[in-house]
Formats: sequence, structure tokens, C-alpha cells
Amino acid sequence: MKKLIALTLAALMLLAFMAGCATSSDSPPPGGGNASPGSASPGGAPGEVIDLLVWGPQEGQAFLQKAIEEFQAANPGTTYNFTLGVVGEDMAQTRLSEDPEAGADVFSFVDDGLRNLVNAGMLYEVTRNADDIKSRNVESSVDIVTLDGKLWAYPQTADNGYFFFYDKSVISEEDVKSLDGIIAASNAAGKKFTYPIGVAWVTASWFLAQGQLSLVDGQQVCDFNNANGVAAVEAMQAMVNSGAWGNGWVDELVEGIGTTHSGGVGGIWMVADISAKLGDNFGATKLPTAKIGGKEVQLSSFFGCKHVGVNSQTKNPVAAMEFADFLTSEAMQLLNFEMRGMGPSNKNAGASAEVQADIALAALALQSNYAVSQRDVLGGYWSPVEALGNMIINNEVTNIQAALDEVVAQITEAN
Amino acid sequence: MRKPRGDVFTALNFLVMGVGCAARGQVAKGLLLLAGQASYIFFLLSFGLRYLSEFLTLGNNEQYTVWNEELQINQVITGDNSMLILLFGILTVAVTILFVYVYIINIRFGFKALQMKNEGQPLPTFREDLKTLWNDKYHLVLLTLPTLGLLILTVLPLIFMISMAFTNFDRDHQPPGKLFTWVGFENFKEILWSNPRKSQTFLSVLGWTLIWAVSATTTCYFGGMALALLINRKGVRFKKMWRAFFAITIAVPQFVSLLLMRQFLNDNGTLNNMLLNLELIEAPIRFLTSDLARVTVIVVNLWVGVPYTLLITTGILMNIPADLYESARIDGASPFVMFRKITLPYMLFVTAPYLITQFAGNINAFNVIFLLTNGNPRSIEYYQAGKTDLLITWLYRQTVDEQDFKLASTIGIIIFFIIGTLSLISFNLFASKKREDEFS
Repeated sequence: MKKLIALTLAALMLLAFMAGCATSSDSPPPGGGNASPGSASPGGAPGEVIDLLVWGPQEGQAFLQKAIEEFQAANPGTTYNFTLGVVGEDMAQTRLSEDPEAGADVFSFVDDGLRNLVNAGMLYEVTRNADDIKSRNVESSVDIVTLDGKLWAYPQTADNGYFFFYDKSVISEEDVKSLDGIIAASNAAGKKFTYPIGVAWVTASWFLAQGQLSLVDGQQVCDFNNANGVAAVEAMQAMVNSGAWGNGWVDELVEGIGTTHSGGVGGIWMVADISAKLGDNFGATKLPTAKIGGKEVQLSSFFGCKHVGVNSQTKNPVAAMEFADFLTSEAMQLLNFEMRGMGPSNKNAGASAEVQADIALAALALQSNYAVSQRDVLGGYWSPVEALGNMIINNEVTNIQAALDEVVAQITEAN
Repeated sequence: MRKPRGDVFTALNFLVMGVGCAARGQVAKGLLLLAGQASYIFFLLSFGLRYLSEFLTLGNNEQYTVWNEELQINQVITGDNSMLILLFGILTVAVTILFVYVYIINIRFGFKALQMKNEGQPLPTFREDLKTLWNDKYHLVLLTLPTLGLLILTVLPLIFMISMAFTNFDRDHQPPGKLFTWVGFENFKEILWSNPRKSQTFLSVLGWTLIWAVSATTTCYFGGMALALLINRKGVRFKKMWRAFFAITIAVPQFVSLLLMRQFLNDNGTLNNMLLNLELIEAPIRFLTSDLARVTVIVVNLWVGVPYTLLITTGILMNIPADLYESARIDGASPFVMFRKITLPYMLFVTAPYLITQFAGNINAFNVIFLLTNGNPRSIEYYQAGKTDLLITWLYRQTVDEQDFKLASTIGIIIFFIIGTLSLISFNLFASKKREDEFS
């Protein structure tokens, strides 16, 4: 009897292991990788239940839920079985590459991941209704997802950039136009402003202002290890040591503005917090001009969009594309603006009165005149530039030229 | 014992499993063996052979697209998935090894049956065999399931991960769109010497990892011991209360304390704001974002780790015979000499294994570094690494941020060898001291 119990326990232990593994991957990936054209019916037969897994960020779940309801109402003839997953736009690429077959059929992502996703063959080319998608969205947002003449994703927002938030009671509308003005006003009030040059995405604005991340044949050419790059680093060093500059990014700005901070660089996702703190003193505008190499230069920025992509491994490409198309339509983009404050990429939605009246979106639109697409940034750009930014903050860069040479070498090496 | 001469069944047993047994009357056993062979062949034909044949190249067909006029889409035709080929290839090899083992057993069974028959012994029936398994060889029955579980759930994935170090699996060779393949020891060469940028970074990160592991282990150890000694001193009142205070901190999960510490030490954190308001400093002290971070992580780790050592050492300190101290005092030894000659040797003797596991654990102290600094501050002296990055956090960054799985796997294997070697050496060092008479 004892032996029987022992054996049962051993079996149970194994079962527990197995069960533990089984629950972690909710859908077992179908085995096999051999070419099998037409094995599944990509169109979906009538009367069939179509399973779609959709990924979106936590704060976008309510929006997605609403969009799904409306999509189902608009397609009464087909039965859909939607599953929602919480994966932020910035994490979609990483999570998808872990196991594409278990990934979402439709997902939102940030466009700096586009090239990697296309290279890894994870995106379905957008062909259905392509002309309409191209014409209804602003050109820059379509350009970003067009590689080698092919459209790879559905533009959803045109707001993934950064601009300058400021406290109107500290910095005047005149002061905010130049970095020197911001520094003087902040120093006078004894407050700090943030310009996170330890964040490679923002550090780029100085090199971009010098025209250093130019595109050749659709690929980023990395050559800012020259006199212009040196001047940009010197200007950053001057800012860091101006007395008014404070280190930090999202948390520091959101927590400090109104009290310890006079303003700072941020993005659309901080608007709610900052405007709540500043109230009537809430100000937002383009990035300031800065003195680089003796000239007053307008600081540039990365312009990005959020997009909806369709997983190349999906069982239901047509249904997935139809849903992605619907999710990025004019009505849904307006809904996304109302529910989450996302700036639409749709021309009509962007022209609506509500969107036009939005202070932050207006600032972003102003900045977009000086913005560069981040689609073609080399994958290896982020890590070394972040390192350089941190070294500038720590005043560790003495030989600027050598540091830039090393940065460029590392960026090139990683690709 | 004389080897029996085989007959036609013995020869046939090499081809068709179970014949050797069945021919001597052990039909059920023979059928079982035959079923084993049949299922292996079925497994190979239906599943294994495809992966095995592509195992050497890890796939040849890339994914491509075909225009589907009816649906108006560029239909994706999936190609080979190198990752799946690697995974299932390893599985097939493992099953094959298992089969070879059973095959050898089958031949042994065949010979044994023949031998017993020749010697006129009665062959055990199937029922008798089962009985033996249930009684004399019960350990085999009991251990089979856990062993199987261990193999499938631990060993196979491990082999899968290790194999990645010998491929070029990175951002540019990522399934399902791209294939990756074997590259031999290329990754090890790169990280150890042939790619100066990577090898330099590896050496620097390794150096810091060792400095960190040694300082984190020793500071926690001696800090905890000092605290315990302090509380244990005669004349200290409310001993239990002091100990309880420190024990309470253990109740807060480590990652919570670490995250709070990060908030506290931020450039704009509580501590800096306090110091600024008191006008003790002009600019925030960059605890976590400058080179100071290396000191900060060790100090914070000391703060997090001391209660554990305190608890462990308190018990041991109480066990040191008091007469040792008494006689030392009579001989006129100073408190420091008593610590050096009595307390420390006693402590080291008892806690040596604890120290070694702590050291090994600190080499892989992912939580402390990741939650406090995330490896920052980054430096361009390092390839995709920061000043406080340990090998393990560098590995993490390679997988999650850079999708450089080959490099990550290589680092993982190297970490294993480093920890293995250091642990072996130190265990042997301490084991050689295992002479009890030193202490009496």
C-alpha cells in the first residue's frame, strides 16, 4: 500500500510539472516548419469562428474592448472570438520575437521596431485596401511604414515624438524659444528643467539638429564623429553645466514640474499628469533653439508613429487585416484620441476641432516640422548613444572626438 | 562463466527486438520490446527524421510570400524555423539515445534468456518479472517518473540553450523570417579574444563581477557578524528586541526594499531633496547614475543582506564555548585577539559552505543590480554594458534589448564555468581545514 502511495505521489509530481508548463503557454504552437501552402484556409470559411489575439498596452484595453465591440457589430455575418493581451507598444516587438507563432495576430507597436520586424519576417504585408490606407493617413506616417515600396503596417497615431513642457509662471513664451532663455528663466527662479540626454531617443535631437543622422538608400548613415558632432557634444556639456539643468526623464519631470522644475522634454503620454499639476500655467511648445558651434540652431527630434501590425504567422490573415484596418479607421482614431489623448494619423481625424484645440498635439505638430523619422535608425544606435549621454552627464567625456569615434564604431559593429 | 553459442533467434534479435526473449518463452516481455521498437520507428518516420535530417544545417528553406489574387494578400508561406529544428532535433537525438539504451538491454535480455535456458534454469515469467520490479527493484519503478521529468523539463531545455552558443542566432538571423546555423566555437573566440570590443567588455564586466561578489559577500558577512557581536555583548539590554528589529526587515520582500531604495537614492529622490533643502549640498549626489553607483550597490546590498547574516551568526556565536574566552582572558588576551583567535576561526569553520554559496549567489545577483541601477551608468568603454552590469545582467540585456541570443548563451556558459571552478576550489580549500582538534 505504501508503495502504491509513493508511486502515485511520484506520478503526481510529474503531472504538476507538466501542468505548470502547460499553463504558461496558452496555445501550443503547431509543430512543423515546412512549406505547406494552402494548408489552412487563410480566408476563413463562412460560419467558422475566427480566433484573433490582440495585443495592446494596459491603458489601451478599454479602447480595444470598445473597438472590438463595434467591429463585431459592423460584421454581423462572421463570428469572431477575440482575446486581449496586455503588451505595451514598446514591448510588442520583443514579445513577438520570443515566439511568433504564439504571438498576437494583431498588435500595436512603435515604428523603430519596424525594420527588425520586417527583417525577421514577422509582419504581414498590407495589401488589402492599401490605397485607401495610404490616402487617408498623413504622408509622414505612411512613409514610416513603407519599406522597399511595400506597406507593412497600419498607421494608428502620429504622436510619438517629444517636445517641451513648461510652467508658464516661470518661463515666458518668449524665453521658451531658446535654450539660453530657458536656462536664464529657470536659474532666476531657482528651478531645474529636464532635457534627458541620457535617453538615446532624446539625445538624438542634438545630432539631428546638426544633420548628422542622414539617410542614404533608406539606411541610417552613422557619421557624427566629425566636427559637427563634436560641436553638438560641446553644446550638451554646456547645458549640463548651466546650473539649471536637472537629470531625469518621465518621473522626474512629472513629479517635479510646478514645484522644483520649470519645464522639460516629454511626450504625449505625460500630458494628463502635467496639465493636472500646472492647471492654467500648462504650456507646451516645440523644442528650443540652442547655441551649437556658435550658431543658434533649432533642436530637432525623432518623429514616430504607433502602428498596428499583422503577425505573419497568423492563421487568419484576412480577418486580422480587416480588424487592423478597422482599428485604425477615422472613427477609431478619434475614439483613441478621446479615450487616451492619442494624436490621430488620420487626416480627417487630425483636422477635427477637438484635436486642433489640444495644446500638446499642437506643440507636437509644431515640432514635427523639425523632426526626422526614426524608422531607419540602426538597431545598434540606442545602447552606445545612451552610454555617451550618461558620460556627458557625468562630465566624463574629455576627448570628444575619440568618444564619438568609439560610439560610431559600436553602432556599426552591432549591425 | 562460459558464453553460450547463439542460434538463429539470437541473430534475429539484433534486427527485431524481443525475438530473443520470445523464442525462449518470455512472450510478453518480447512483445513489449517489439512495441518499443515499433513506436521508435513510427516516431522517427512521422516526426523525428525530418528534424534530424535538417539538424546539421538547421533548415534550408526561408519563409517567402506568394500573391493570392482571390484574397488580395501576399500570402506568407512559412519556411523552416531554425529554432524549432534545433529544439526538436535535440529531442529526437535524446529519444534515439534512449532507444539505443533499450536496444542494448534487449540484446542483454536475449543472451540472458539463452544462457538460462542452456543451463536448464527456469525462466522468470512476465508475472514474476513484474513482482521483482514491485519488490526487489522497487527503487527503479519509483525513480523512473521523476528522472523522466527531470530529463524532459530540465536537461533537454538546458541542452537547447547551450546549443545556441554554437549558432549565429541573433537579430539578423531570427526565425521565422530568417534561418540561423551552426558556427562552432566562433562566439567563444569572439568574446574571449578575437573581437577586442567584446572581449574587452567581457574582461571588464568579469572584473567588476568578481569585485562585486567578493565585496558583497565579505561586507555582508562581517557586517552581520559585527552587529551580532555588538548585540551579544554583555551589558547590552533588550537583546531580543534589537534582533527582532533586524529580523522584521526580512519580512519585506527584497525587491520591494530595493525598489524603494532606488526611489530614495534617485537624483531627484528623497535623500537628495532632503540634503538640498538642508543646504548641505549644492547639486544632487548621483548615487545611482555616476561611477559612485558601484559603491552604492555594495552599500545597499550590505543593508539588505546584513539581517540574514545577523540571524545565522547569532546562533553560532552563542554556541562558542564560554570557557575558551575565559581561559583566554586569564591569559591576558585582548578582545581583538580573542576575536581573531577564537571567534573568527570558529565562525569560518561553521559557515564556510554558507560563504561559498553566498559568493556564488552574488556572482549571479541579478535582482540587486537590475532593480537598483539596471546596470547603469552605461559607458562607451563597454560594448552594450554599463559600469555596474554583472555578467548575468549583461546577458539579460543581450537577450531582451539586443536579441543577441548567441552572445547571451555564450556568456551563460562562461558564467557556469567560472562559478563551478571557483566553488570547487573554495570547497576544497575549506574542506582541507576540516580538523576538529584545531578548536579545542
